[in-house]
Amino acid sequence: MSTRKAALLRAIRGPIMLLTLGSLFAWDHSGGLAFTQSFPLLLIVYGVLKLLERTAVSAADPGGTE
Amino acid sequence: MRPRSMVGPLLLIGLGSLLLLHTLRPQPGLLAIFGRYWPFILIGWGLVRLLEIVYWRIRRFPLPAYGISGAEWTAIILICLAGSALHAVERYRPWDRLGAVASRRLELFGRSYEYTIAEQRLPAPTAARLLVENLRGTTRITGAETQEIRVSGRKTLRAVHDAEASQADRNTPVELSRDADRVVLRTNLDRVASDLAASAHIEVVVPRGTAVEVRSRNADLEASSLASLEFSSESGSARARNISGPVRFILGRAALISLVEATGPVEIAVRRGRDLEVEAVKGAVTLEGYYSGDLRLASLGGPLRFQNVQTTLKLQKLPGRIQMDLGDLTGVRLEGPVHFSSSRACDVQLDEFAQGAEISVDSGDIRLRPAPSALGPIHARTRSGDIELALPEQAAFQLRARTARGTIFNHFGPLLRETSEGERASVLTGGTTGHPMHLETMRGSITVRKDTVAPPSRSADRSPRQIEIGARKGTPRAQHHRVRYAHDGTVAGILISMRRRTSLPPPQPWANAGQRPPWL
Repeated sequence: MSTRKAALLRAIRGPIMLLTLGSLFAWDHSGGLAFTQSFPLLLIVYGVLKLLERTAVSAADPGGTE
Repeated sequence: MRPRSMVGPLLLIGLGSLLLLHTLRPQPGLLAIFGRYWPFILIGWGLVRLLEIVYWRIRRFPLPAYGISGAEWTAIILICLAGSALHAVERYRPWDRLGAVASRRLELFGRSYEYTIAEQRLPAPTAARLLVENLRGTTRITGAETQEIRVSGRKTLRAVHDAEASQADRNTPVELSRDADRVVLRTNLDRVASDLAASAHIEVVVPRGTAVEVRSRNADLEASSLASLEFSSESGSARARNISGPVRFILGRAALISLVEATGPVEIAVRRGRDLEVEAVKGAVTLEGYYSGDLRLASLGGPLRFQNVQTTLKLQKLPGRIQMDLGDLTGVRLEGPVHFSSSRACDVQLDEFAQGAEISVDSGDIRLRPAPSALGPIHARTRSGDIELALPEQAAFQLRARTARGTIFNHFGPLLRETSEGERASVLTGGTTGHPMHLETMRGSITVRKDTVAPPSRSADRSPRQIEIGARKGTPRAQHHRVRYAHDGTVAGILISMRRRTSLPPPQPWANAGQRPPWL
């Protein structure tokens, strides 16, 4: 079950990063926070997604042989 | 087998539709719109891919290893680069600097020559029409108590040798000729190469009743005391005063257009302009095009219509004045119904307007104070921003004000009733007779207050006041400023918009008269 969850998380990682990227640029263009200031959010989102993915993989394979 | 993604076909359909729209109905701001809204392509793209993956998972199709492929990331990076470049070009307008460099290029070579244009005279026919063709330079036309047409001026050009300059001067004679009831004035600058930068600065005196048409490519026009005026040019500026008939300006790029005192209908169409000033016009005024600077309109006796792809403004008469720039509209003493809609962010402040108003902006604050003597229906809508409506205490009205997310301030007490809609929305209703007042904001506060400000005083202090503007460090880089007027016509404050991401301390833009800005 958790392997499938990890596959899902890996598959949606790209679209979510793209959504975040588009939102940050839209925020910049609408006069909000500049992209040069908000880009670290991309790293945070990427890190959170990787963390969730690894958690799911660990749950599926406690021995860490993935 | 997993189905293929729909993003590619959707992008192709979107791109094809946009190009079709552009070929069928060319709109000058299409690239600018892409430069502004391209991040939403990424958002839509990501959303579609996300939904697809969730759908595949539910239908138990095999999921892709990665939601976005390498080729897709390449396309996304290209879109980001193109969109950012367009956005930067639209914001910083580098072509202004490039144009300045190009015009100075020739100054490195050769030297400037100046020739006097000998005065020419021609008896003017009755009800004369004058056609002026002056491609480059300045044209000044003055109506006077005279029965003849007089032309004088000077010509400038750049050349490497004296002989080349003399030859160019001989090839570009200024011709004044009569053709039936029409007089034609030509400077013939098209007969020499454009790199000589030949330009003619001509002064023309004509009888007061003359109808004048001026055709140029890159020239400035000054005209006064004429029967009618028509001016067309690729770029330039136009100043006209005291025109007793129709006025028509058709310009590509216009640095400044100023028209003061005109009787007939006025039509001004520009592709891209900076500042516009129209004052004391008795006829209808029609304005079309983009203006990046200030629009100042005052004392218009006929209907006003201003329109471009993003903004529409219509009203019946303007005894007071309107000042508008890219982000603000301020108006005093307007006769409506006033209709203003903008698909971009814009703060709106209207005082003493008659016969109601219909205001719709994408985002921005709306402040309305209708004239107590001529209330009309009011509809105000903003997606994100505060709305404030000031009504006379004894006025009869039927109010419905709704904020989807924000606070309502009711100064009319139990006359109006506030209710909740859902978790966050608030609605203020009240009144059974009188004009309908509909206010709606998706995110922001709504204030309905009593108009208790004293009526305008003629003895109001109109003496000029000086405000010092400076910076703690470096030079303040103000992009534009705007004067906000109080209801009685005095200056209430000056809004100075600073360039974003400046090192100066951020927004405290309002500096009241006589008060130093906080960063000083």
